[in-house]
Amino acid sequence: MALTGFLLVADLERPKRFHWVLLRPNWQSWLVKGAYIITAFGGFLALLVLGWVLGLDALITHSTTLLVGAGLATATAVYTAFLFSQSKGRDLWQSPAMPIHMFTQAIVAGGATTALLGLAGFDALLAPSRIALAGGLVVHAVLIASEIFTPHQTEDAEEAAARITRGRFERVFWLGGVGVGIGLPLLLLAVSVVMGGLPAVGAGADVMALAGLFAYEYCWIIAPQTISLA
Amino acid sequence: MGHGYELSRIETIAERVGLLSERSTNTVKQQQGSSDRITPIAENGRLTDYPDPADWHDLVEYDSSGEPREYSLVPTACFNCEAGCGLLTYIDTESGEIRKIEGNPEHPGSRGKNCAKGPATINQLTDPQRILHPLKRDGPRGSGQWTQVSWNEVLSDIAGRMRETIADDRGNEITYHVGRPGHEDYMDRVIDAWGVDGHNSHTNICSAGARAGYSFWHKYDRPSADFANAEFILLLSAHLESGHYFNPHAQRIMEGMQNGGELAVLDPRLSNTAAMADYWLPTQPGSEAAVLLAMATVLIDEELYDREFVENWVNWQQFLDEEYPDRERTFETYIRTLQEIYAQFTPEYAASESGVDADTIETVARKIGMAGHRYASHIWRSAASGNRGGWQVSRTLHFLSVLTDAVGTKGGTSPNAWHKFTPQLPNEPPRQTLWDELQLPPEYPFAHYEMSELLPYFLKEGRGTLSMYFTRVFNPVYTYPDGFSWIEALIDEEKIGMHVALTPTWNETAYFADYVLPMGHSPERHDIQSQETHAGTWVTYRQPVLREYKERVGADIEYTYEANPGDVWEEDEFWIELSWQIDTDGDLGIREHFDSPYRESANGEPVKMTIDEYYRYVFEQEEGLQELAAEHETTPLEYIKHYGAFQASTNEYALHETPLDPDILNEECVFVDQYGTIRRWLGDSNNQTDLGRQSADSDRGYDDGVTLKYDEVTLNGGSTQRETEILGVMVDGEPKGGFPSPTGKQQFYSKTLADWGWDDPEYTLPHYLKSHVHPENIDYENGELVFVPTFRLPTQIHSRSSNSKYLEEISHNNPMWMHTKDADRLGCETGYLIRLETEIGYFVNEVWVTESIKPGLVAMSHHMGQWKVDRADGETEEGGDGFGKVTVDLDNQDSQWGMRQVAGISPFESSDPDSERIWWTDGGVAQNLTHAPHPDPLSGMHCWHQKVRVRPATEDDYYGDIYVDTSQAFEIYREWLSDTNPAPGPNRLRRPKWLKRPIAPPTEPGEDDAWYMDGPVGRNERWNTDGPPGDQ
Repeated sequence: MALTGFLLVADLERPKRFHWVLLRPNWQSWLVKGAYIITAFGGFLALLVLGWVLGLDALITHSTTLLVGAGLATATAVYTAFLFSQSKGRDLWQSPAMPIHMFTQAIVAGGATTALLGLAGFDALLAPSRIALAGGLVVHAVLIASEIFTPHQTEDAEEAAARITRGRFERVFWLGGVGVGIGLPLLLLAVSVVMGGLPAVGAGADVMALAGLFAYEYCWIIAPQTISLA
Repeated sequence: MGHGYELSRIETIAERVGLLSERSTNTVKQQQGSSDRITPIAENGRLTDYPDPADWHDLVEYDSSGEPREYSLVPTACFNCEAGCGLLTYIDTESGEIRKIEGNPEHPGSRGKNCAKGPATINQLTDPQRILHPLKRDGPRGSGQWTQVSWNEVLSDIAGRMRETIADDRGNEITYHVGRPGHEDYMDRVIDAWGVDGHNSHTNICSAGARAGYSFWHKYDRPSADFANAEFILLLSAHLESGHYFNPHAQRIMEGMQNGGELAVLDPRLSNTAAMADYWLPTQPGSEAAVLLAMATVLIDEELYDREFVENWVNWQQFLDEEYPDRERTFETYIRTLQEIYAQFTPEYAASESGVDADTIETVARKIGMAGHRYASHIWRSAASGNRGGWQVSRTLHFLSVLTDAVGTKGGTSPNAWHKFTPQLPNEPPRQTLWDELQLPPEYPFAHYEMSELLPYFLKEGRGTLSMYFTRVFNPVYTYPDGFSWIEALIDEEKIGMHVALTPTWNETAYFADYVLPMGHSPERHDIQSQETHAGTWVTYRQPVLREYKERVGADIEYTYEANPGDVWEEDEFWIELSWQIDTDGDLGIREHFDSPYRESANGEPVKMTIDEYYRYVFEQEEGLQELAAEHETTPLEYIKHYGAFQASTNEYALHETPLDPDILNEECVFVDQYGTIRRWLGDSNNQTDLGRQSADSDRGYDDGVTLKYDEVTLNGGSTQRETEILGVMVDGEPKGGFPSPTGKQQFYSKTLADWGWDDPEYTLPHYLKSHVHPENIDYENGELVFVPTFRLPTQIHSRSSNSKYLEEISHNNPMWMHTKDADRLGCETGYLIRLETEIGYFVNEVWVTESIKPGLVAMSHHMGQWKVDRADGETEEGGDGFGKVTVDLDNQDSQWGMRQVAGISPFESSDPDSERIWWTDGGVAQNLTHAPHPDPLSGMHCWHQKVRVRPATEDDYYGDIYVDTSQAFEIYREWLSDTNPAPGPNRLRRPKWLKRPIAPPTEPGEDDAWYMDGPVGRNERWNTDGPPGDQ
């Protein structure tokens, strides 16, 4: 969260005025809403760490706490979709499936990361993480199909999708986003299940899923911006 | 924070605990705003008013800190374009410095509203690298070595050389070459006093095409549209954002539109003006005349023309007599003939030429027809300046005004001269009597005007030399096509004996001068200016405001440079001093025109005129100003010094219908010809009956029963050698003022052009000439495109804004506009480097891919790309302008020139802390260096559009690279020259005498030698146009 916060602030044109986003809020903007969401989630996580240090395990694992945490985590994962859809000039980002897709990608990323943690000693995380990862990847594949391959409402959205699948982003999308990001991880997960164990194979699936998400997001974010607005 | 802004709770808390400043609600100034001490901002956020002129000299305003500050407000007139808008300088009475510049509400043209260029004048004044002292070159010309000298040394050196030149009968070796004049008749008077044909201008790279088109109709060479009262406005320009006189014009276009008027714009580029229009017609460059003629045919076919005006005020009878002598001379025949001549110009044909659909062309034509005399139009200068034959664009545009009776009407378009102040000047010299062939050469008898673009080739060819060459706010090395040929001419000391650059800023031409003389910006100089901004006439006064302020508080100042920064002077006083020194003993007859009109010395000797006396005289001649001054209990000069401007008249319409005194018809030598034109014989009056007189003492019925008697004479076409003066026109039996054309009417048919060898209807009538960039000439498959290099940016001043930090921050590069389709074809995306190849070289620039331009074209703003050469070892640093000039390496071998940018724009240390805050790095690309000369064979206009080849840059190409071979430019000059139709015309004339030309020699018989081919040329040698190049 700290890294995310740092990157977001550094990306501002006037980073020294980042607090204006919070203190002179424009409530119409999802940039502001997102800043508050991130701040809230960051604060929540800080409290958790504090509780952990103080040994308040019962409070941390209480179902209400977890529910609040899940809510904030979901909001943090999907608010960007609303921010993107406020960029009215970028037609591809107007997809109504975007919040669900962001949520799914969060599941994939989360599953892959916690699975890696499982391999690093938190054994209990391993099995549920793998299930979440596999399920997430399948839904992710379905949503890609729905967002990229179904017909689009406008010429610019169609053109952006075409640039992803057949244009300058073709290689990154097919090799990175689909091949490395979905196909190979699913295959490796299957191998890992069939063969039983094989931690290295499972770890490969986790890392590839993360790399694939990066590749897919790169296409999704850059391609619509290559289309001239005028 | 703006008015009506409500704080959120979070902000309120954050402000209260000090996390945010309280500037949104609680500054000292805002607290004051709610008290009675100062005027609060009005409800809707508009300023309630300007300071009352009565308080100008003693005004208190509050700083942003809330501190009161005392100002003296002195008006002047902007000099950053030709509009001459009013400025009001705020002089801090504590420091005596100009603190800010705003609009002058008393100015009838700009009415207190200004564009960015006006207030940015403050940057030019405080430019930390400006030229503050006269500089003399110290090394070979162009070596970048400069030494500071005094004004006395400058004057004595220049005056000596000029005296010698004039005394040696080589007067025309003196040339004053002006870029931005900014004055009314001042230099005409000075040059006439010198007795030389020494005026050169920038007109033929700017407006020669449009001027020629208008001139052939009625001699007046510019339009003055009454936008505010128009019902329909047609622009071939971007007048809401740029072009002369865009700020005052834009205000009135908006007024017209707010009152229900509609706007149509012809422009291949979606300019800000086109974007605001009701109809945008993105025409193929060069097709505009075809579109306008198609509109004319709609007006004719659908009888939307004004029969009464056309019948009375167009020379249709002459047209039928000359071109269709066997047809019956009736108006119906004329209309039928028009339909026949223009049959090809259907909306469908225009659509195929222009790419604009036929329905739109028809719709706009009908709107024009319905608006009738409330149809206003303007062209500045776009299509008329871009295309070979572009002069037919303004001619066909005016044709629509003629057909709809929108000439000189309310809501229509008047001749500019009707709305322009003409000053009366003290000690006026007689008109000069020479003809300089280096400016108006025989090849271009119809040039509008000086063929300045060709000066370097003329010098190269050996047509003559220059002893003294003044460039004044003029920068051809950067602004003109093929600047490297200008450099070649300027560094050749045998061709140009002395080059003096009078300029407020460093420019590329000044690098190649012998003297660089710093002249003032708008608040540092005297001028008067008047422009045709609306249906009224005004004059504004440009004055050195610090001098005026100091004089108001009691200082005694002899010369303006005493009050300006450093030794910065002004031209007005400089020319008086120089002229006085050229003719120290009065033998040359020059000095007497610079004597004071009010004083003489104790022993009765004349004394030198002061600049105050000059303007006092000018303003005292203006009756309306005298009355106004009397009302204010002051003198005309003091009135205008205080208010800065004066409106001489308003709502001047239909001046051609001004009735003449019927007695004029009875005057000696006056007669009426077969077309109703009232003329007076010139010259020998004893022999006037041998020229086809048909009847004398005709009796004509007059409305109120009075019978007018006058001579009626039939002039026999071109056979008559006798000259006449046009006095007016008979309309319905009444004598009217008419137009200053050869028939006193609108010249649909130009007999002049026919007589001078352009006798095809494509020339004699408003017609369509296919451009040199017509698609027929472009090989699109082979990477060729049409290049439109002419559009302007609203925030740039040709070559005088690179020292303005405000303006450079707003716009500092000129990427190439390219349509997405062309970009796809060429594999380009925004930011890609391309190489654009012209006929004489190439440049490298980046691409901006957009759909705001017609496919098949590329376009670039004609600003940007100013440059300097890094030569740090001089005593005075050359070039300055760190905000906007890139640093280049220049490379030259024989006729080949190369330029590479070695440094872009970067922060620099100076007395202005802002110079260290520069965030932009780009200064643009100097495209004009790579343009070949394209002088239109008839109007002389440089035709800016070009056929070019565009290809992705190679690995060796760097942004801003330029390559040019000037020998190829010379070949292209010769090619275009060979299409001319040189003088002499009838009677061995150089030029039709009725057409305008700057500082024209007298036209009266007996004093008009200069107008003939064998007349005086003001040089020891005469160029023989018939011989091969180089023969003398």
